[in-house]
Amino acid sequence: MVQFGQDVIGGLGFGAIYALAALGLVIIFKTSRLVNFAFGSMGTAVAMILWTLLSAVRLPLVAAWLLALVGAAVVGALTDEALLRRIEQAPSLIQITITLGLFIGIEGLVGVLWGYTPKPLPELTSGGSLRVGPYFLTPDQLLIVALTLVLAAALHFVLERTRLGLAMRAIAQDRDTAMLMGVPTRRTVALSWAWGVLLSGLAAILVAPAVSLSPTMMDQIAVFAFAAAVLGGFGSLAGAIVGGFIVGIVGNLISAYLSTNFQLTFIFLLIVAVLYVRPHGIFGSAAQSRQ
Amino acid sequence: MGGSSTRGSARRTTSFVAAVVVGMGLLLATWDSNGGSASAAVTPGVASTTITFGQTVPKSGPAALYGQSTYGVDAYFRYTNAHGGVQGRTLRLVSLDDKYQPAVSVQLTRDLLDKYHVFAEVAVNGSAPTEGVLTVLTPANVPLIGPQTGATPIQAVFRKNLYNVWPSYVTEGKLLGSYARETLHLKKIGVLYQNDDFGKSLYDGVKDAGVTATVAISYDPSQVDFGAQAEKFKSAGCDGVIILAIPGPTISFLNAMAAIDYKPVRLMSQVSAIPQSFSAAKSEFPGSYIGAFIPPLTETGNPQVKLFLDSMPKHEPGKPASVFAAWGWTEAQVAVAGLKAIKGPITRDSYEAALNHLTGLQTLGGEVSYTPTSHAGIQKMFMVIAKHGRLAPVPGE
Amino acid sequence: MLELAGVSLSFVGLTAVAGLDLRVADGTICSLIGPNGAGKTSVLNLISRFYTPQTGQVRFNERDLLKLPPHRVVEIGIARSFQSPTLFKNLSVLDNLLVGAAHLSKPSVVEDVLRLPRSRQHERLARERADHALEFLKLEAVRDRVAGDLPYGHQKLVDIGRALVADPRLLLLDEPAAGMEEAQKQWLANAIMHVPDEYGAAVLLVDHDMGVVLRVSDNVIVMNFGSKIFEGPPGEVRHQPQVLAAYLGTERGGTVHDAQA
Repeated sequence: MVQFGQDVIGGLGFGAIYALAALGLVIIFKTSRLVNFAFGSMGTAVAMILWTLLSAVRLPLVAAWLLALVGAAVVGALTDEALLRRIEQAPSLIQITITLGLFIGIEGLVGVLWGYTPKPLPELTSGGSLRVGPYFLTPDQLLIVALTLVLAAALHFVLERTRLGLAMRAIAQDRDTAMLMGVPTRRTVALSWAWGVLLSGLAAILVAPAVSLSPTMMDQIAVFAFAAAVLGGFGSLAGAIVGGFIVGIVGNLISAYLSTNFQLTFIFLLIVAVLYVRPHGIFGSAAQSRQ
Repeated sequence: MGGSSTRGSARRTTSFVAAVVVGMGLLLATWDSNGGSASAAVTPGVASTTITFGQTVPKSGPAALYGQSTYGVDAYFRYTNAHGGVQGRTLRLVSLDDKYQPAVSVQLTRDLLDKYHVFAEVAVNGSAPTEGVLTVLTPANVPLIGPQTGATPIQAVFRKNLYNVWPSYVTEGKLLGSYARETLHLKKIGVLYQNDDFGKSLYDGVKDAGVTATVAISYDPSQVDFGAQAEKFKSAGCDGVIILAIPGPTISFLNAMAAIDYKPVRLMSQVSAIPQSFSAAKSEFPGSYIGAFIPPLTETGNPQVKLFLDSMPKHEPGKPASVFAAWGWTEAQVAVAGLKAIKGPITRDSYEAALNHLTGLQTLGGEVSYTPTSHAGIQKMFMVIAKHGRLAPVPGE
Repeated sequence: MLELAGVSLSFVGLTAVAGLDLRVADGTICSLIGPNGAGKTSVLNLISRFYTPQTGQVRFNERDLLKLPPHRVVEIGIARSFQSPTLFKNLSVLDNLLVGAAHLSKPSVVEDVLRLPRSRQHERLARERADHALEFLKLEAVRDRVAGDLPYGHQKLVDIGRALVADPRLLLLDEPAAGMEEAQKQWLANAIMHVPDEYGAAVLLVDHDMGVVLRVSDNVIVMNFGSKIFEGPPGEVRHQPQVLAAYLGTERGGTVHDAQA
């Protein structure tokens, strides 16, 4: 039983990472109707930039963090501005191909620029594991989970309670009409790209200390985050969060009690089962996916 | 890009990369060679002034780290060239990036034979890629010296054209297992192994040493979250864990053990013994035992280590003198020793005949001996321990 | 205020609008009627800049409308409703109306996220306008309902309300009464009549319902095959022979009033 509990706790940390990355996917998908398959390698690039800021420029941890995340937001907005705006009207197959190409291209570029030697990124917190009853958890795991929940709440607030959020929701439903109503659609879509890449970058930065930083670090994480987004209905923030934690915990339990070799298989079986019962995901609504 | 197909441009990129590599090789090789290289040679890759070797290694993708071994091969070739070459010829290396994808390795190996006309191959990296490469080289009787793998399907089958340099994974696994059981007296031993020929061959060696694992878990190389595995070893009460994994998963697993405050004795494969990258694994790397054939690169009293450390900055300036480079260096030592032992014309047959009678060759990685019926690699391995971000001899050995 | 001069629009071989002159004066209600395919909606779409005419001029308050992209039209004071309402179906009625105010001021993103004064002021203004529209169109009861769940007639009202929230000087209405019950139509006609007083906006109305058109209009323009065949006060429309002909063909008699589409 203790082992079971520990497996669940262990899954929370990675679950939060999947949730953050899934949020990044969903927020971009909401406004641009585009699945950013490059989100994993973009996140890795942000983590590499952070590594350079820390090891070569020797900035203090917090300053480097903020700078890297601002950089992520700028890269996100520029990606939309420079590349994806031009394929807005293209068939979705073309769009998918472009973001997939971007994924491979960025991963290759990161390899060329930073090399393949695993690099250390410091954890945010210091000190060893905390003991709670029979369970262990690291301060970083706690921080990651808390940060994910706080960010999700903040995003929810922005989306539901601010004009920017209203613009995003309107664009998500009908971009052309929103544009006619004078909603600044271009700015809003670029902003959601900024947000999305920032979240992917944050996920990469947070996971790097646990797995060590390398160009392909996010490959597997991206697959799980994508699964989390699908599970949550690909459009709902709450869905992405819940989906992330489910994938993290269930994934951990599968590798604990069955075999790690089946992790991905079972996660996708779970998705198929969920989609069978609820065709629009746990939190999705029919109207959302109709668009 | 106009109308060119993706495949066409990918190929163009490949040939561009290759052209750069060859170009650099030419630039750095001695210059009196150009006149004769155009004349028809009887043996592919052997011109009047040059001998061309080829190799496929991952320079990008998940295993790209191993691509550093090329620096060691290059450095030893240049060291040889600087000391007169072989039979008045300089050595060249055409090194292509296979991304650790066997299908790509096969294609590039064909290119190495057909387009680059290499004489032999040296220091090809990886178990699965090497198996692919051999399907091309063996029927054509092209020698391959020192594939970077100790997997059973490669080491346990005799091939006329294949000369192993690495100790087999079974040998390595045996050393780790017996050290854990007999020297460290561990009671409950856990084994984490990769679910392929690499992990399984090592695990076979561990079992050969008489170790019965309390818990044995296989993993997929792409896995990142090792929390469940760490918890399993912990709750089974393992006082020692043998980690048969490549660097990325090894680091993730070490971190996962730290997260649950689990500190068993750790033994691991030399494949992951890279101190500079293990600073990534928090405080868990120090104290880990590693089965090695390359001596700790801090042992400057060892003339082989000294030669390697002195030559790297001279012949491959700016490139890391890492354990991977030491692999390539060792394999190049064997390849060159075989060439130098040839009396008369250099052909693939005379090369193999010379290699077949190499005995007691001292290399950076240890002693290598071949006979016409045995092409096994280095036999002697020893334990080292990770200390202060470096590898050091185990005290008392 | 709105002025179309010699405007022609054709799509591959098909003439939609042919040399049309049209003026809408400040604070008046002008209606465009005509049989199906006469080019009425095309005229609205020209003004909304969905289409660009091959010849002619479209000016609004002395500005050349043809130089503006569609999404800037609302900024200079022209808002519209659609034949079939294009609401944000998953958003509440209130949110739909608030989107209408999007262009009224542009606080920066930072101001929005941190809710700084300029953003709050915008929000207050938008809320006031939305509340007013809810009251004006008797939509208070469905304020928080999801727009897509409302009956068709209500959706059309929300569509009109969203255009009113945009604070237009000219309101374009594309068949607002279509699909409504008789009582609702009468009520809607009444509301449209009050738009100039309540919102200070002129109205350009396209509708098939002759009862509504004749009741609310100051000026009626009848189109057929893309051309204007009559223009005048509503009282004169129903007795014009060319109008009758356009609607009924020449063989049959009767008045336009009987010939609702």
